[in-house]
Amino acid sequence: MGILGIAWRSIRQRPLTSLLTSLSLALGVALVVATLVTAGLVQKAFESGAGLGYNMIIGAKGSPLQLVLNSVYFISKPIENLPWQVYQEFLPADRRRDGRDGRYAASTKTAVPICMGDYYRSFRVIGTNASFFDDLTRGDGSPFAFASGGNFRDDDFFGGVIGATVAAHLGLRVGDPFSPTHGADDGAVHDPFRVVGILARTDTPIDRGVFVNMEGFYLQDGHAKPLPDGVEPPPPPPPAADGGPTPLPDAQREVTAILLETASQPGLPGMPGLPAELTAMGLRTVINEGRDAQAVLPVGEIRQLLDLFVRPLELLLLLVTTLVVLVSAIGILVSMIGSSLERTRDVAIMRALGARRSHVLAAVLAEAILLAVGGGLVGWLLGHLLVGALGPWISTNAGVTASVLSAAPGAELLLVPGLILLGIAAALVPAIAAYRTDVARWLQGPG
Amino acid sequence: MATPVIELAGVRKSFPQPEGGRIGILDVASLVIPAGEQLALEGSSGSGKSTLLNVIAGILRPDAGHVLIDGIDITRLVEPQRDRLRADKLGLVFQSFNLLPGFTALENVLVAMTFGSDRPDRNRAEGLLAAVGLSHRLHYRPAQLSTGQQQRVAVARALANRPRVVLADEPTASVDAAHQAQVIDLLRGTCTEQGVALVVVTHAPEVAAAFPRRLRLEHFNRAAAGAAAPAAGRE
Repeated sequence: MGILGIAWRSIRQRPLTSLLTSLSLALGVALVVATLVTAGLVQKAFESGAGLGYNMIIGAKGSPLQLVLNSVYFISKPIENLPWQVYQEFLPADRRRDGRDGRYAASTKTAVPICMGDYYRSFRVIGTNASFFDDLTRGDGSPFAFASGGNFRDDDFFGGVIGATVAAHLGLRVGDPFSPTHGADDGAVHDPFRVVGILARTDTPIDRGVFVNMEGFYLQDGHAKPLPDGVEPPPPPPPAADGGPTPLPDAQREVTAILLETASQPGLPGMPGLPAELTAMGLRTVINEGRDAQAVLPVGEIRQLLDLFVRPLELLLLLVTTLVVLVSAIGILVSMIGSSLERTRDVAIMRALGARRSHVLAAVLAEAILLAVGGGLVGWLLGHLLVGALGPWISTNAGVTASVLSAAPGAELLLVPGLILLGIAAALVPAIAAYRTDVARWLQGPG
Repeated sequence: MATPVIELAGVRKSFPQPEGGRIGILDVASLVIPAGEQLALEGSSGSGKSTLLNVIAGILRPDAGHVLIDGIDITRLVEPQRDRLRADKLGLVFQSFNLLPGFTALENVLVAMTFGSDRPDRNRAEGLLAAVGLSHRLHYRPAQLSTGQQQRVAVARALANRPRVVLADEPTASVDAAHQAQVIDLLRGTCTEQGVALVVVTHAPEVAAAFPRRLRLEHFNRAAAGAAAPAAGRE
């Protein structure tokens, strides 16, 4: 029987106290683990916005943060809409009806319009074009993949692509119809669209999106921009070749935002060109000086959002849960001090049997470490089970997959050494008391 | 005469008084206990019996003098060396048995082996418990054992590391008169079987009467006898 055996028997000697002490620590650790894992997932969700294949968002003048929250994470309300003409300024000649390059076309590699305002059940509906899934990327920079079906074509006005979470929650399959509602959930019901593709999970807000062809989106009631009084409606664009619906005239179109990837600029002969990042800086200045729109760099806004809100909240949660663990550690200390009278007698007996002071010191420390590590490992397991139980809710609200196996590896690797240190800290006072036990006094008879 | 297992020479021990100064408890000019001997150390309450036992066991350090266990002067050893020597060469039986309550009978014997020089030997521990008639109670905790059975575990534990001598401090103090003889018979019989010397400290004359050699503490402890103490070591 070694020191660990002695420590284990000491724990077994006080089963209820030991159980309650370990349990309180387990609950504390479970909260810390759940907080760390969830915070890591939420942070990942926010940071994933940095790899979506665009580096600038153009929207109506207003709060840059609101524009990012709305365009990247599909939360918060749109600021306002932009005139269609603003979007046109980013397009090259071959994509404009007038056959001329837009004002910012040379600085633009990809410009994807999005239109918002509708919902399907509780999920945001985003009107866009096929370029969204053809040219942009999922959060990690890789191209979008489809679990079934594929992207809608620009001439398929009523085609739609849904995110993995939407498909899982609503049980939609390729070919199923769905009718968005105008504004909130209880708004007017629009014409039905048809699911042509279901995205593979991206662990980003994309999973919670219902994407429809914006040509169909524009044709819904209330989506056409009203013309000023006395202005004649412009001639409609030519109808689709197959005799499909007539597109909404440009003058009545608006977009909520434009997701933009800037282009690098070729240099003069013998001179280096301008990288896309610098193009973005210049373009942002130009647009922000104008009256029509604002340009924001989402990475900067996301970083600011993380620094301003997410990290302080995460720190606060971590502080509270760490305090819970500290209280549990004090519980170990109290429990060990509470049983010190009993222990002192045992220590005196063991010392009389030949145990050295180092033996009893190690046995008391080992007892506390066993309690701390045992409780901690149970807590670690409970924490993961908690994350697993909260998984569907986290997935719906943060757009990331949360399961029992989700982990915060860095912090969790520190857990066991941390718990050992905690156990040692909690047991130091009773261990020193055991070390200093006066054997003769405790074994002294009347003689 | 057999080789001595315990030799005391000029051993003095005093304790501080709450009101200042020190009070002498032990002043032994000479005490020799040969190997394999069984003797009773008699003395009234406060005569220094337990102090003497703790000094022999190396738990208390004397103020002066030498204590030799199996030829090793333990007063020259540092505490960890004394602890190791106690584990290897001495077996202790306490007056209230002092079994570890969280440990089974077998574990109480094994834990004593943990502190000795040899590795804990489960077979030997079981054999010792069988020798004291407890082979059917190996996995019982002290609270599940009768007083007599607890005493038997204490005896088996004292013999765990093949000691040279067993020191028993008032081993009959917590048993009734009817069981005193059983406890002494158990101790003497077991120590005889194992070839181990036995020193029993007691204040009960009827217990001391069972031993071939009896020493009254006041006769060789000058501190207990006062200034007019007789010559040390007198029987």
